[in-house]
Amino acid sequence: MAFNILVVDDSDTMRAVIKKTVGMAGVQIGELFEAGNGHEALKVLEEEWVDVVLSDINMPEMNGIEFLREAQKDSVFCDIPVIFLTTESSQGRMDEASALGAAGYVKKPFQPAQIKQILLDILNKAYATRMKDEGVVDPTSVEDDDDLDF
Amino acid sequence: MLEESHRIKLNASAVEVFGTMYFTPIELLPDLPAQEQWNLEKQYVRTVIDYHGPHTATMEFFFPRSLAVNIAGGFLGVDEATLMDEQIVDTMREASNMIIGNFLGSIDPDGACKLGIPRAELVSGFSPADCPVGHIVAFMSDFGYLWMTFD
Repeated sequence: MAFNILVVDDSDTMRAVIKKTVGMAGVQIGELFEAGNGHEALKVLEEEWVDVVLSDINMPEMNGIEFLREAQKDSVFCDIPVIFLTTESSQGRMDEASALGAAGYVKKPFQPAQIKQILLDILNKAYATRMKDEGVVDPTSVEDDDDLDF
Repeated sequence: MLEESHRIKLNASAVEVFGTMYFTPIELLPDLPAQEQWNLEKQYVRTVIDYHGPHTATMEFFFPRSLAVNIAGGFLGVDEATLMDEQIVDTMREASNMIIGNFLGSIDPDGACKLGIPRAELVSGFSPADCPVGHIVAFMSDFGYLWMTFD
């Protein structure tokens, strides 16, 4: 099963590196979408099916926290897991993100293996939910092919 | 002057960012290098980032172009000769964001401060001599000194 992933970051180079990291994480990817801020991310969600969002926090126009807050107001978008990849590493900011419903948090600078692990965790949950919704009794999980080569 | 505890945390943040993301060793020097060792380049990437709240400051980085090119090329996994200026500038902008974001996380664990959006541009004619004494520090790298000013 392939998953669609949205990468939200105001840095073109960081988006490129995150996309590369995700591509090497050993999960099946359908589409990889990009957005430069929260506004653009909401537009992508309106037009495309997205299984998981990897988002920066510190962005112009609409930051990651504001984006998550808006997404949570929507009956469909609120179920999409949002993982923050951010430089804002204070416990206070992590608590704020968690309280808003963030699915996970990875601090920049990150190791590619951290992205891989959190993606597998989140996508496994999403996969199990999707299989349960479709009536599959014993779903196999998203495979970790342990073939991460950076 | 940068107080000693902040100097240690700033160094730790820069070392972590450059080591983890760019595989480039870097170290904050305890004192400015002597002027004859500056070895200034014609072009620098200047980045500016600020934060406000219980702690407030504006930090300005000057990355020598050779360091910036090396970092951007490695980060993006592309040949340095094919790099565009926009990619070099954007990579340094993000590097500053990570250094100061992590530094802020260490001095403001409750997250009460607001980190600004970093800005970046290519500049010519930078000289540390133009910066106020006591408001500039230098990081040593394999590609010359990375300078940082603060208010």
